[in-house]
Amino acid sequence: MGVPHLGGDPNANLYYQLKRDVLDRVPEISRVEFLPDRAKAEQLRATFDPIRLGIETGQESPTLTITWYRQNPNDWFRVNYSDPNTGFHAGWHQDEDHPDLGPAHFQYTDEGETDYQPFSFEHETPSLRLWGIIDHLFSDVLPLQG
Amino acid sequence: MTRDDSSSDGDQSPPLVTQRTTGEDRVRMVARQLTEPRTANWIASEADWSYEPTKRVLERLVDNGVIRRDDEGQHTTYRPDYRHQAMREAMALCDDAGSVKELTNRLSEIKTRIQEWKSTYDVSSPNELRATIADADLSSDEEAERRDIARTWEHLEGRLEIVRFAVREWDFLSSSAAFVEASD
Repeated sequence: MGVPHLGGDPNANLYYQLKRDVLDRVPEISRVEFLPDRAKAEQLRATFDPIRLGIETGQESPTLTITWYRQNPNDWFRVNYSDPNTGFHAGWHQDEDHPDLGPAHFQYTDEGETDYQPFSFEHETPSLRLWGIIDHLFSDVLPLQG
Repeated sequence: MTRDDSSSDGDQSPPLVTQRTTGEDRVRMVARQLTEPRTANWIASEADWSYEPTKRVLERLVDNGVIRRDDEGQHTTYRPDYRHQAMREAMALCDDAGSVKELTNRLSEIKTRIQEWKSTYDVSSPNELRATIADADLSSDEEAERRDIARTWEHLEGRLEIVRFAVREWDFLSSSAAFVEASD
């Protein structure tokens, strides 16, 4: 990835863009935070409102945590959904793990068992990919949570 | 379970992104996040919008300094002006921080963290830390930890640049300074 020049860094404003382009437009999300703080901005964390999400698994709110770095030839990212009430976890990763599944994979853990599957995106743009992930979460993944 | 599978199961509902964003929203998202010069046709296709309105939005973004147009090649292409994004980020840091002292504290924390990694692993850069993965006899968990640290380290070097810039230019960038000037 290297240390980019200030004026040429595609990561400089990326988390703000993901927040504004995507997370702030999802009514099921009640709060979005930069972790550990705005200056370091190592991750974004979105907290879901369980009632708006249509699930009632317990007192704690499910979260979506995003780590995303623009780099060539492929971005590196991990987007993780966690429900602390049940231990249910789902992740969309484009990292160095599971190269046999292709550039990106989807994984989910329920009742202690983890399953890994290939995952493909229809877009190259990070904000549109994050929309694709949230679409997949709502339409296909949350119904898995038994 | 993949997007491919879900799109072939007969579900005809439009994607969430097209339900909750406009075509103009999507063109702006795509244009700001290009990593190489692209034509208006490519951007329209990526944004799932038609060519003419896409072109109009792109020209507005050029006028506003968000992206740059290149007419030199066979086709006109567009690419982000990342200086604009860096400036926006620096302004956001100033707006978020209560004071220049607070922002300076964040700067010190980043420097301290990087210094701790240098001492712990006896290396001077993220790539040197990566090289230790090949050299040392490490468990897979230890290897993953060093890869994660090297990645975070590179990220924080980028943040160091932008936070340092925001601190240096605090008087110019902070909204309270703008208010004082505007009220004169």
